[in-house]
Order: sequence, then C-alpha cells, then structure tokens
Amino acid sequence: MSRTIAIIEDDADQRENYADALSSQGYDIRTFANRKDALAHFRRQLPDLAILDIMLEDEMDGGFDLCRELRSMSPGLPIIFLTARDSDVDRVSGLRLDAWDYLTKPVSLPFLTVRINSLFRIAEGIQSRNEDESALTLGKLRMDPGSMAASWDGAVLNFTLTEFWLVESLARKPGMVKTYDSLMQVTRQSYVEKNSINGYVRRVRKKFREVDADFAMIETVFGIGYRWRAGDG
Amino acid sequence: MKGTDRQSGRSRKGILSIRTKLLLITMTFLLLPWVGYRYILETQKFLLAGQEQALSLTAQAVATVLHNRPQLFDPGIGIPTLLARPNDFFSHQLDGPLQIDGSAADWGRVFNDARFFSVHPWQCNARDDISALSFYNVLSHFNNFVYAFFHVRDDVTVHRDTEMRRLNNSDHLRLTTQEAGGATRRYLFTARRPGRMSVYLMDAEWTYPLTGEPLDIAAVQAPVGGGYNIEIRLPLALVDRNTRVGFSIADVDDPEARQVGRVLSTFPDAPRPFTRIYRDSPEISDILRGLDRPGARIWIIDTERSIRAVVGNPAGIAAPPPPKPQAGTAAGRIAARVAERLTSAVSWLSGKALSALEVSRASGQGDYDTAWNTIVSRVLSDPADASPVPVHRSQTPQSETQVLLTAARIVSADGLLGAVLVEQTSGQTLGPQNKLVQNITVITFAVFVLLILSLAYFSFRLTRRIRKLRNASEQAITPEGRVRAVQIQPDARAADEIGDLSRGISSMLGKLNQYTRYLETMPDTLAHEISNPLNVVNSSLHNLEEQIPGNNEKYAQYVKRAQNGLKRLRSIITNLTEAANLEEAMHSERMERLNLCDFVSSYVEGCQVAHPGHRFIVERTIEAQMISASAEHFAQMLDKLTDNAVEFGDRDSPVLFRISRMENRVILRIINSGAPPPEDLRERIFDPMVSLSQKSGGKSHLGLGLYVARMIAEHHGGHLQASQRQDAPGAVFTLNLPLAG
Repeated sequence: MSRTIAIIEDDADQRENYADALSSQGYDIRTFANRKDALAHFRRQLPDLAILDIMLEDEMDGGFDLCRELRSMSPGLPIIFLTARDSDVDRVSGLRLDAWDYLTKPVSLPFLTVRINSLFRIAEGIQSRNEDESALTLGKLRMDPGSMAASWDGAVLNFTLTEFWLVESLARKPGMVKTYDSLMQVTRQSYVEKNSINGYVRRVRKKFREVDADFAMIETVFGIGYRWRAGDG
Repeated sequence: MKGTDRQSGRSRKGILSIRTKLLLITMTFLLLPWVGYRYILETQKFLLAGQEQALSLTAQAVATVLHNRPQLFDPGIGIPTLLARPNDFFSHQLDGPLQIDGSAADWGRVFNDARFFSVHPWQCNARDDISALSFYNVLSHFNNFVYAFFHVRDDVTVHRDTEMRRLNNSDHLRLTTQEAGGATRRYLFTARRPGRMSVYLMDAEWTYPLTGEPLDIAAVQAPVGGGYNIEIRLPLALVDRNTRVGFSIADVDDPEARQVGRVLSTFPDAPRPFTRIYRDSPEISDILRGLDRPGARIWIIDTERSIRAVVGNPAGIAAPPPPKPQAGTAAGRIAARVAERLTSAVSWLSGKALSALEVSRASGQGDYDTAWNTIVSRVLSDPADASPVPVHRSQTPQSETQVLLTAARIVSADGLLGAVLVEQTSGQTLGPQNKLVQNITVITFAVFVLLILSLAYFSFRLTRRIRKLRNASEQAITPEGRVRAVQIQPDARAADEIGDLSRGISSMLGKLNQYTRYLETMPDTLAHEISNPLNVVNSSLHNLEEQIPGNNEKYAQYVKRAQNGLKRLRSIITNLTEAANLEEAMHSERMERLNLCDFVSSYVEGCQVAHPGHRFIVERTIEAQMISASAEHFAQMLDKLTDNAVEFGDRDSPVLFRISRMENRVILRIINSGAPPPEDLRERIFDPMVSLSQKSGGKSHLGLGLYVARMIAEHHGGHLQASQRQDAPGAVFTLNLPLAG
C-alpha cells in the first residue's frame, strides 16, 4: 500500500508539478487548494505526510492554522512547510508548531523527494523504537538519525530535518572544516546561499544555548565554513 | 552629502533672526513721541494764534466803544489815583465824605481791598519779625479829596516830643510828591498824642521842617491794639494828575534815643522811588467794568500816556496747592513715593520737551516794561497808521508765564484820543497744554514700553516655537533619511500657522514613512512574489527533465541552462532581501569583543581557500587591536570588500589587508591593483544600486555589495571610504573603526 502525501498549495501550477513529481515516485497524492477543503478531507482520512504552504488563498497564515489542527489530530504526523516566506519569524512560528522541516521556495524536486523519503524512514523508526546503528555519541552530544532524536547532555534538542543533518554532518567529522559548499550539499536544497547556511547555524547554536548557555562547539571559520570543535568541550 | 547639506543649512542661520527683525521694526515706534511732539507744537501755535486774535479783537472792540468820545479824555476829569505797578492798586470812588477820626468803620467794604506792606522777607534779619512793623493802606476819593487810611502794626508807639527841634523823633507818616516838572515835596505827619496830627513840609533829610507852621491837612492818629491807625484827607490840588506820590511809615521804637529805625514804603526803594499816578476817568471805568474778565487786564491811556482807566487782574500762575496728607500705610507711602519719583522723572522729561517749546516761541520775547513802552510808543506815535498793533509777548519778572500784550487806537474826528492796551497771560491757554504734553509723554512712554515688552515676548515665543518645531522635525528623521517619528509634538494642537506647519510636517512624515515602508518591504514582497513563479518554472523543468526520452544530451543541456538562469534569479532575490533585512538582523545580533588582527588573519586564510586563483597578504604593523563587533556580519562585510577586490583587481597581483592605528581608531585598508574606482563614483559607490562593473554574463551586479558593506561598517561605528591607490594603479578601500573601550 503506497503512502499518502497531502499537498496543500493554492498555486495550481506548483501543486500539479509537485503532484506529478511525487506520484512518479510511487506516492499517493492528495492535493488541496485551501485550508477548508484540506481540513474536510483530513477529518475523514489523515495522510501519511503533509506538505503545507503558509499563505493559502486569502488566508495569510492558513498553513500555520492547518498545521495546528493537523497536529491536534495526529501528534506524530510529519509536516513540511514549503513556502516563499523566508523570514526568521515565519521559520520560528512554523517550527513551534512542530513542523518537521521548513523549506523555502524554489525547492528542487529531487531534494524534496529525498527529504520525504528520509522523513518516512524516521517516522517508521520512531514507531518501531529501533535504535539505529548509525547513532552518534560525541561528548555530550547524542544523535539518532533513525528517529531524528538529538540531545545535549541529556537535554532534548528539537531540530528540523535540515538542522539535524547539518549538526550531524559537522559532528561526524570533529575538528574538520565543513565548507559552505559541502554544507549546502548536506541541506539537500538546491538554491542555498552562504547566508542561508549562516542562518541555519545561527538557529542551531541558539537551540544548543537554550539548554547550555556556554555551548561553543560549533566554530565559524570565516570565509570558509564551520567545524565541530575537536575534543570533549 | 546629507551631512554637508544640513551644515550649510545651519550656517545660513545668523545675523538677522526673527527676533532681531521684530525688535528693529519696533524701533520705528520711536517716531511716535516725535509725531506727538510735532502735534503739540502745532496745537500750541494754533492756540496762541487764537488767543492773540481774541486779544486783538478785544482791544479793537474796546477801542470801538470809546471812539469819538473825546469828553471821556478831558484832562479836567477824574481824580488822581495811586498806582504802584506792577502791583495793582485802586482808588475807590466813595459815595460821600468820610469822617477823619482814625476809625475804619466808615470805610466799609472798601477796607477789604487794603494793601499790606511789610518788611520784605529778603530784608529780614534774624531778630526781625513782621509784627515789629507792618501796615495796611487803602485809598479812596470823593469830590476834591483823596482819603488814605493806614493801619500800622507797631510793637511800640512813640509820640512826638515837642521839646525837640527835629521832627523825626516819633512814629510818623511820610508823603512824597513829585510833580511833572521834577520838583519833589516831602510832607511829614506826626502826632503829639493820639488824635489830630500836624503836617509839615520837610527838608530832604526828613529831619527839620522847611516852615515852622503846620499845613492845613486833616489827619488823625488813633491807637488800636498792636499799633495805631492813621486817616488823612488830601486836597486834590496837592496831588494833581501829573504828580507821582509815595507813602512811607517811619518807625521809632526807643522813647529815649528817638532814632528812626525802619522805614516802610508803598514804593520799591529803587530804581523807581515813586509810584505812577494815573487819573481815573470814572465813565471809562464804568464802561470797562463790564469787560472785566479773569486773566485779562485792560488799560485805557490818553495821548499823554497817562492811564485813564484800568480793569481786570491778570492771574499769574496759580499758587501750588497745599501738600496732600501722606497715606497712612507704609506700602501706601512707598507707592506714593514711587509714583512721585516717576512723576518727577516724567515731568523732567516733559519739561525738557517744554523747554524746547519755549525756545521755539522765544522770538519777539522781551522784558515786560520794554514791551509796554514799545507798544505804547507805537500806538500813540502815528495817528494816521490804522494797521493793527501786533501782539507782543513778554516775560514777567515774577513768573515764567508769558504775557501777551496788544493795543488798539481810540480815535475821534479830531484825531487820536488814546489807546486801549489789553494784557493776558499765556498760562491761560498754555497751562492746560503743558499738562497735555506731560500726559502725552507719560502715556506714550508707557505705551512704548508695553509695546516693546509685548513684541519682545511675542517674538521670543515665536522663535522658540519655530526652533522647537525645527528641532523636532530634524529629530524625526535619521541622518540616513529614515522616519523616526511620524508625529511631531510641538504645536500639534496650535490653531495658527505654526500649528498648521507642524501638522503639515506630521502628515508629510506620515506619508514619507509609508513610502519608506513600502520601499523597505518591496524587496521582501518582490522576493516572495517572484519565488512562487520561480518555483513553478523550477518544478516544471524538473518534471520536463524526467520526461526527456533516453539520454538526449541536447535537451539535457537546455534544461541545465534554464536551471542556471533560475539560479541567478534566485541569487538576485537573495541579495535584495539580504540588504533589506540586514539592519534588522544586525540589531538582533549581539556585539562581542574581537581581536581585529587575528580575525583578519584567519579570515584571509579562509579567502585563500574560497578564491584559489588569488593571493592575499596581511600587513600588520601593530599588535592585537580589540574591536566590538558582530563577527558574522563583520565577516560578511569583509566578504563584500574581498569580492570587490577580487573582481576588479588584477589576477596576478595580491590583495593587501593592511592594519594600522590612528589615535584611538584602527584602520583597515584593503588594497588591490588594477583599475581605480572612477572619480565621479567614489562618493556614490557605497549607495545602493550603484555598480562599478559593466554588464557581464554569469554574475549579477545589483550594486548592493558595497552598500551592504557600508551599512555593516556604520553599524559598527566605522566609516568606509574608497580612494585611488597611490603607489600603483589600483583601489584602496579604507575602513576606519573605533577601538573597543
């Protein structure tokens, strides 16, 4: 039985393009143009994953509202925001609602597919409670790619998928500089600039500092990229 | 640019502020007192002219009444009367003969007009007092006799000692007559005891009689309390019309020594020993009596210059009123004193103005007697001359009041009969005028002060409001041109033009703010709006790529190019939003202490990796320099400057990072060889949308890189500047930063 993906996007062109691309990957696609239609359907049947735009027709924050309602129906449902809104405020709002990822347009469809696959895998991992062998422990940091669970000194860190990948990529090679280019690969987004990487790192550091004010393991190598500091920290 | 604009705007403010201008305009009010002064002058001229005319008319009217009545001027008519000019003196017409008994009872009301003589105050010695010697004297006439009555106050009355030959051994009355021919006669009236007096013709020394026999003249002395009375009856023959007459009272106080002490006379001692005599023509006097009016005196003289009649009494300046009792309270006293001071100051001022007035009308002024003689000569000299006599003005010796004097001829068919002289003091009209001048001076002065004060207050308030408004409107916009406040407070509720201006500025600021908001949000809006279609193209391309049959190189190539184009579009949008959101992002960022030298060194190491084709060199002459910076944004700024140097510099020559220090600032220069920045762009190079590069493929040039660099530099309190390299062709970008405290 194929997995169901709900796409809520008011722009018909983009909606259909996503639908085409994802159904060619074997997913069962439901498309909705507005919050009302989507919600009506969700009340009857929940999808396995939802891709939301924030602005839906005349509702400025329709996506956020929909996310809130979906979350109340199913706490473990993977939700991805895919939007043209790129401000920090929007990102924070989206992630507060427990979205699993926040992607900005334009997005590369192959990378979107990769993400969706990963999220499904993670969702499965969480359900089966399997400890992934590739789990990483580095000093106080503990990361489980299988369930997207991360913790610092025992405190849970709520990363989005992109952030998780970024931290994992740095922590896997402590002491080595990860250039902007390689980090862009890690985020699996086609059009990511230096500033976007800086933005991700800033948000990641902030999340670490929320649980440990003295956190300083991620070092900036100006002009090149970032590295995880060697040693225990 | 903005800075210099403002400076020049400030420097233009200067010499003539609104306040100064208003005060200058106020100065024109100084003309008001002058105008008032002119006005008063004109009024005075007018009033005087009116008075003169009235005077002339009076003279002519009186003359007209007396025309063609020669009988009035008959020499046989009338009785001599004593007159001591300039004081008034009248002989009273009696209804019947008087009893010569030394009593004033039958004189009736006539005695009320008695004149008082005493020692002149300036002749008094310390031991003198008026009670020692003084007398009242009154004259009247009936038929062929002149009656005189003296009431003498004398502390000691001494009667004649008949044993002594000399006659001046007791209190006595002296009568001096001087006839027209110049012959002088002296009569002495003395009494052995109260009662009838003996009269002798005396020598020049008033010592011995010329003849032993007393004259037959009725005279009685009667003692009264504090002195004695003397009543005499003189035949008219003794004092005819051309005779000058004078009376004296001689006082002897010591009954043993019997020396004459003081002598009091009805005439001043010198230079005129005798009063003039004029003959009073009763009919003329009767005619004139009806013309009597206060403040004027009318004289009738005949052709021989004898005064035939006089009526009226020109009032001098009224005596000052008695001082008012002082106010009871201290405050009242102080207020009264202040008012007094003020009044005296003002009257001094107006006095100055008045004295100027006096000078202005001084022409034709002269001694009163001279004027009298001039006028009389003129009016009597030429009977044929019918022209009116001009009005003379003169000063009386007693007061500063002017006396106006004019005359008119009295004629008959036979010729000149005499003349009418009319005399009036100018105080009659000028007194109120002086008061007027004083009042106007006070009022003008007060109004002027009030005006100056209110104008000064008004201008002060006005300039203060305008300055506040200017400051507020200046503060409302940042030096970068951002709206800081939409509403400015000063005068926002005022109903006048400044209030309008204030509200106008507020509404302008509001609109400007809206527009700025619009401009600021435009990149975001644009990015957002472009992202969606971009995503459509992108996803469509992807789906298209999937559909490419087999491994068609050609199709794949086109798809690749389309994707490159999309990538560039995306980078443009990113740059736009980056610049737009930078300020906000920087404000949320925390500043930390950085060692600039180490930071630049490590940054340049990174550059080496990022730009493999270029060489980078750090030159540092100094040790650690701590600055306060947001590392991420500081690196972002260096990125922009490095990108610029790499793009426009020669590939083979290195990019230099030179760090030096100047006082408490640190200077970072980024130097590259190659084309220097064009001169005309050097100022604007850091403005948005200004690009150095020609349009070339591959990279987008929005001209935002250096703009972003400048914004970051300014956020760090620094200053960024572009200049030409000195030692070789190339560009120098100088960053001037403050050191961390």
